[in-house]
Amino acid sequence: MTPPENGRRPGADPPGPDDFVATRDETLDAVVGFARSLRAAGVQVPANAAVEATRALTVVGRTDKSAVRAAMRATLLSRREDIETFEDRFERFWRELRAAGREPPAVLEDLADAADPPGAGLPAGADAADPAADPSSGERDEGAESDDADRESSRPAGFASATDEGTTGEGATVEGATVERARYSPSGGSETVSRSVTLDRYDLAEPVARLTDALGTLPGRRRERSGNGRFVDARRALRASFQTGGVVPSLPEADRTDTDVRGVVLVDVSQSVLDSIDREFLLEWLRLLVESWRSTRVFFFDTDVREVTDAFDERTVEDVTDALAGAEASWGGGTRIGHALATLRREAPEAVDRRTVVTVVSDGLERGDVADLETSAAWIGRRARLFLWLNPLAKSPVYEPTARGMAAALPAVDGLFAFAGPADVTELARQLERNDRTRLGYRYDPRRSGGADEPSSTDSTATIRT
Amino acid sequence: MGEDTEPTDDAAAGSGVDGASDASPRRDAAGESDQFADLTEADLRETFERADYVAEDDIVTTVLLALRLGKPLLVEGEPGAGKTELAKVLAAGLGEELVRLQCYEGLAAENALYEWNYTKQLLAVQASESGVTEDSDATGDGSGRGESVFSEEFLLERPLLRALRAGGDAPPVLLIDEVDRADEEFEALLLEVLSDFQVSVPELGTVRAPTPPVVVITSNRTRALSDALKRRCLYLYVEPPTFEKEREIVRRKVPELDAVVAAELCGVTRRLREEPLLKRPGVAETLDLARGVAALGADRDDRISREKLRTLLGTVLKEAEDVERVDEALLDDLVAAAGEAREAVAEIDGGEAVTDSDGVEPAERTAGDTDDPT
Repeated sequence: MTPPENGRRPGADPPGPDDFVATRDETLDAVVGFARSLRAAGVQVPANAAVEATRALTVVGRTDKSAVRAAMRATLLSRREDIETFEDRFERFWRELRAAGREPPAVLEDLADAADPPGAGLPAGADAADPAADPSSGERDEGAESDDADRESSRPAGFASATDEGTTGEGATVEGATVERARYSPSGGSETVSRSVTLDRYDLAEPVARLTDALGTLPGRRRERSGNGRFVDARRALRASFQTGGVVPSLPEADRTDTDVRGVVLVDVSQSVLDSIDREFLLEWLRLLVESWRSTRVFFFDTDVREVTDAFDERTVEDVTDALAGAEASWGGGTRIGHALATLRREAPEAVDRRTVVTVVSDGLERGDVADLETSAAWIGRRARLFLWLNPLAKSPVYEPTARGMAAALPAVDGLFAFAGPADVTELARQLERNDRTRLGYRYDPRRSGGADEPSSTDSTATIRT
Repeated sequence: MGEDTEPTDDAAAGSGVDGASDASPRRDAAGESDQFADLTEADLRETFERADYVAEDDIVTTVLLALRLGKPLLVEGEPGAGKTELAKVLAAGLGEELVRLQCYEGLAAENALYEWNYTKQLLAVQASESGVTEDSDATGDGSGRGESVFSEEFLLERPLLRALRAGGDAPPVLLIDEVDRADEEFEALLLEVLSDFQVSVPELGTVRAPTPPVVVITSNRTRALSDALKRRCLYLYVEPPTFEKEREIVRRKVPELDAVVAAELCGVTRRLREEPLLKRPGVAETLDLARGVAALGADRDDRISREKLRTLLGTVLKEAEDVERVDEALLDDLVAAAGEAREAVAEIDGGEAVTDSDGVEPAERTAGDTDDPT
């Protein structure tokens, strides 16, 4: 009774008997790809689900959208929580299935996404934000250009110019506008990291090196004098013995200095953050951290958390982007910071210990439960060596952490910093080098105090401290 | 079936297992059941229609898939969404027996699979002191002395085994109700049954279903089910019904009630669901309320009053705290919501709704209606 190869029920719309066979590969690709993308989005897709889904398609056919939807739901899902994610992605799958993998639209869309990454995920309802978005992106490009220029000149001058830029009146109004524009990320609708994001290049090597030196949480190779170290300092003992005629009165000891860093970086990749930070800069910064710290774990989160450390094990940002795309990492969804931190606490508590620097990159515009965020942030604050919060919105000179998510997390955070470009990384390193953990944060950023600090004075502070 | 029983096992030879000996399980290599190969979506929809079960398209498609692919159907949803009813309707519609296994904490294999009737065994042994041997490998030499106490006669079938053996032309519908209440050990037992549709009884041999039963598993999501179990099932989440769907259900299940009054009541429960109640009223509660109103007698032009609503609250709210929560203000709101729903429906349907509800013949299954969708 079972119909031959394509066991379609007799009553279904007949899409031609060979239809399924003819497009079998494309259908398989579409189904498997759909299952993978659901999995990547955190949906619990059973292991054999793609097979079952394809079998289900042979029963219901491929022409009736609601039947295909029901079949996919029945086979790919196993939890109620996943239905929303499923619905978000189903349209795309449907297009792919209809196109049977051959039509160009999906490809064209990808290209369009790549060409205009920041706005790509914005819903149509965000029209009001568009005029404001332009100046901000213009401003960002300008910043990037000036950074390019800085690289050719000397570092202090670059720092001064960045400071100037931040304190001019014009800059302030633009920044102010940016802050007012800050909006919560729309839930869902994250996009896969596109393969071809290539904009500007950032020279972050030096700021990150300074940052690494300043952070130091793990013993490295270098040794320093110590009262009760693990090693005998033979060289010092020999030199001291000259004064006492070859007798060694006391053994000087040494221990390893903390020069290596263990870190956990949690990056908020929700739409609101991606709109206010340059992706290239963010990826380069993360790549360098993974490269130069002893052990770094990188997590992306929007409405869900996924570890993407492996993708950063590459030499260039292009490779990182490719690796992220290969791993089907996605970004640009809504924001559930509390959920992300709680997940980290629940699923990878070993990632955070007293030698770990925990860095959160987020605007603090929480859409989930603030109480969650508060508890989890407190847990990290207690447990980690240092808890830094890098907020792209804090680049504005008038920024105050009033967003309810940010306000909830703030008591647990050791330092809240601006984070929008290399200058901010430099500033972060500078403050950490002062080795004064009680005076960390955006408040102590000299660029912020509305011109009270002369650029030259900051400059000199930085140099002296270095 | 011969290859399934132990060669030495003459007890099994005379058992119900034998009845199906020639019919090897009717599933091909891919596991697809050809039992329902000619079943179409339209047929299934008609089945649901006949049983007055209001099913959305996705429910019909998913059930069809479960039947066609021969996979168990895992149904989740709010209490009162009609999960159990789905299995009942399916059994009635396909003309098959419904074997129901209600799960509870501590449910063990002997309550789900089979048990030996110990008392009877004991009596049998005592009755014919030396006449009955205890082991099952007696040769049965015809003298009547070789009878085993581990034979069909002493076997108490429990739902799972019954479902496996009840085969024949029409496989039964096996309803495993509220599986989330059972322990995880029980889930492991289910895995064996659901993947091969066979069960090993050491004294009798392996019992395999001649035609695999249609399995419907329901869960109220009080705990997460194991991945292994979920992987073997098709998943169906029954959405809480929309206002329209609920109205339709009430109209079909309580046909004696006027359509406008039914709409009113749906408006009341819809409003109640917005409250943070301990136990939100499901469709079953709406039906209870509707039957209550019908029993008290309701006229089409008779708007629901606060007093009447207060007396009927017990049909909808099942927690003392929830009943207490309904104060005067909320009661006013409920009456207002009822009025709103009444007007909306009266506007849309006009007089048509009346003829409509009158057109429906009195429910044939009024007896079955009383215990439904939970």
